[in-house]
Amino acid sequence: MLRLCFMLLCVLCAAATTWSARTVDSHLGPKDLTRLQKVFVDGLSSNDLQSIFFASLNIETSDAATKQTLCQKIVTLHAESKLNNFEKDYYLIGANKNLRCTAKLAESLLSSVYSSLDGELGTTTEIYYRIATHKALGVEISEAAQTKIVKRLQELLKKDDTLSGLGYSFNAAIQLGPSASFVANRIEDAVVQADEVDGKLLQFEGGLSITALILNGVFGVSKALNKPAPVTAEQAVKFANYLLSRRSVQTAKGAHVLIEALKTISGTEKISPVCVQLIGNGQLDAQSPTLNVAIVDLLGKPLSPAVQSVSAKISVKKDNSVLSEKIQLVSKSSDKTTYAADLSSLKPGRGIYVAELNGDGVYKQKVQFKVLGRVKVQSLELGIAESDASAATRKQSINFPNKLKDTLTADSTQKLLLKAQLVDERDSKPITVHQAFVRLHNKNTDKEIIFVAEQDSSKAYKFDMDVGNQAKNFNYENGLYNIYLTVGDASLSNSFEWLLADVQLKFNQPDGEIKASVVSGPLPEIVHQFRVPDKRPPRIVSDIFTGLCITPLVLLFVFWAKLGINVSNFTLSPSTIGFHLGFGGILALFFVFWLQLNMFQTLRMLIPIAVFTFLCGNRLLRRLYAQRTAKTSVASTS
Amino acid sequence: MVEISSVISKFYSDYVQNTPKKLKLVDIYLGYILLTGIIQFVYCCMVGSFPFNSFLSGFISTVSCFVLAVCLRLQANPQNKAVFAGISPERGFADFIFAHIILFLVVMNFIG
Repeated sequence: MLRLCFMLLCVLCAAATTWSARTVDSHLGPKDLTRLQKVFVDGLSSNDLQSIFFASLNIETSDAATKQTLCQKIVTLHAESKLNNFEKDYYLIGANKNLRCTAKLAESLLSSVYSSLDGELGTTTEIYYRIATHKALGVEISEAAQTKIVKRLQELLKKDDTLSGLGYSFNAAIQLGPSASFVANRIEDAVVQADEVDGKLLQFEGGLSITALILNGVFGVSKALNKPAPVTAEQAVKFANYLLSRRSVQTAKGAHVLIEALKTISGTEKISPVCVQLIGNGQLDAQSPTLNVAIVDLLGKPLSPAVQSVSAKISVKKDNSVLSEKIQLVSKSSDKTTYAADLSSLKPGRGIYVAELNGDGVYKQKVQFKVLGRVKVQSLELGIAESDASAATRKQSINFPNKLKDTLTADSTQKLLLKAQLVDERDSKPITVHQAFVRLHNKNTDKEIIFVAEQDSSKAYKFDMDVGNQAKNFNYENGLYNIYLTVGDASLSNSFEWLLADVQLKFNQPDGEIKASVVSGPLPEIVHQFRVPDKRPPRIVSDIFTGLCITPLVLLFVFWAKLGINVSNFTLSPSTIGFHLGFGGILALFFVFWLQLNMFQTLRMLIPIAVFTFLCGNRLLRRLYAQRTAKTSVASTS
Repeated sequence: MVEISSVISKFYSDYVQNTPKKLKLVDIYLGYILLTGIIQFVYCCMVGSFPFNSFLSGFISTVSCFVLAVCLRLQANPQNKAVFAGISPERGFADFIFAHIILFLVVMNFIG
């Protein structure tokens, strides 16, 4: 059991990796190359030394005047450039060489370049640029200097093992030749640092320029030292996928390194991926199904040597049933990159297929294509029936693509019936389509309503519409309607819309007025509603109780009178009168307050009266006290 | 029963004889307020308390007046002289008037 599982696993793994081995889906096509060319043209006219250099590497400038101005421009740009000395020197000298400028470069610049190798070079980047500059100038680096550089490179590599450091040292080593062969030991170090994205792409952290730098470096070193390719075929596919995904690059440098890296990968035999893709939109006509496949390298060029034999295994995508185990694709004599196979002997039906392509047993790719079918209307019947099925239906046949001569009429007690049998033109079997619609269109109002025709058990499309029930969908609009049948499918090459007939529809008008639709506008104003006061008792009850409340007052006076109030102390002095008037005034004020004043008005008026009353009252009581004490003292003395 | 009536009659005669006239006046006043309050309460029970604030202000004013009058009576009573040593009956009366002014202001505000 375990062994079986293991075997199964091995087979699965093999299946997973074999397919799309050494192949990619796309390549740098003519459109991409034109675009990159434009990037270079833009780069040449830019004010950036680096862009001008990379652009001049890739395009020739034939116009003498333009060349002259460019040659002057790069010198000024070099003076202004904020790049490192070694980098801008390289760009200037390189561009100068590419443009074949006649003007001599400044002596001071050249001498500084020559002397740079005498001193200590700071970084691997600097080493690379200095060597490249010397090469651009066509100057040999002396043995002694080379040995020194190699030693320095070795030192630097011990300290600096960043990706860019490695990348530049590989590229420098290519120039230095066998003496720098020690860098070959670091190739593996560098390659394992590549990051995988989605299992499809491989890239180095830092993007396109670093990835391209390292790829060019490792491939170059391997080639220079006659070593096997530094990456596996599988990795090469992933790197190629990454590079192709960056084909929309906008800078001249990016465009240059992209093309260089693709060339490098493409130029390595045994591992170089190729692009296997369908020609056209992947839709084959059922009449003459020809599968056309292009096999090119990453830059869209024919392979050399060309692939000898290409075969395909064709299967249906839906159920994986195999249509043909092996069908040969023949190379076209006119075009070395195109391989074609005529599938008509297989009689593929309408549907989606998968072709597993195999070129020379090395390049494998899966592609998907579609065989389009043709639909035929075998029969179509149209009729008007009574809704309650009281009378027999009279149906009329219509042949595609004619229109029924007489106009049908239907009122709200009837219904419209349609039955259509759609078949495949090839084998006359009923087919199911994605879209089968019946459309009723009123020419006068230009309004239409679309119904879906459903398939019944015999796979015939049926549509029936009760005129009375559907009246609302037609807005009760009587009139002449065109009936259209629409049949559409992605795998049909002859989808159609067919004007079947005209029908005069008559609806029952709805009962009563159709309610005017609510138009937007201000809502009715909300008026605040006070609480409704409770019911009050009848007037007479209140009055009686008011009277009752007053009676104790009467009793009070009666009893006081009985007791005999002593008012002899009431003198007519101003303070007495003032006090009583003031107190009365306050009570009167409170009464008015109850009836109409508010608290603030009341307090404002209360204060003067209260002060007056207080003064009067104080004097009055003082006098009374004095009287009392005088009385008691008289009483006590006597 | 006879004892109770004799106690009451004794109490009454004692009251009539020994209570100063001023205090009697205040007592009558107290009775008057008590009666008014009772009538208001009866009204509330029989007819209903709506409008409630009016009822409350009326009833509370009677209760407050009763309390203030009792205070006045305490202060004016010669027997309590020792307790309210620094407060003469005149001072008590002034306080009584002052308290009423404040009370009525509130009551009028609340009566609605």
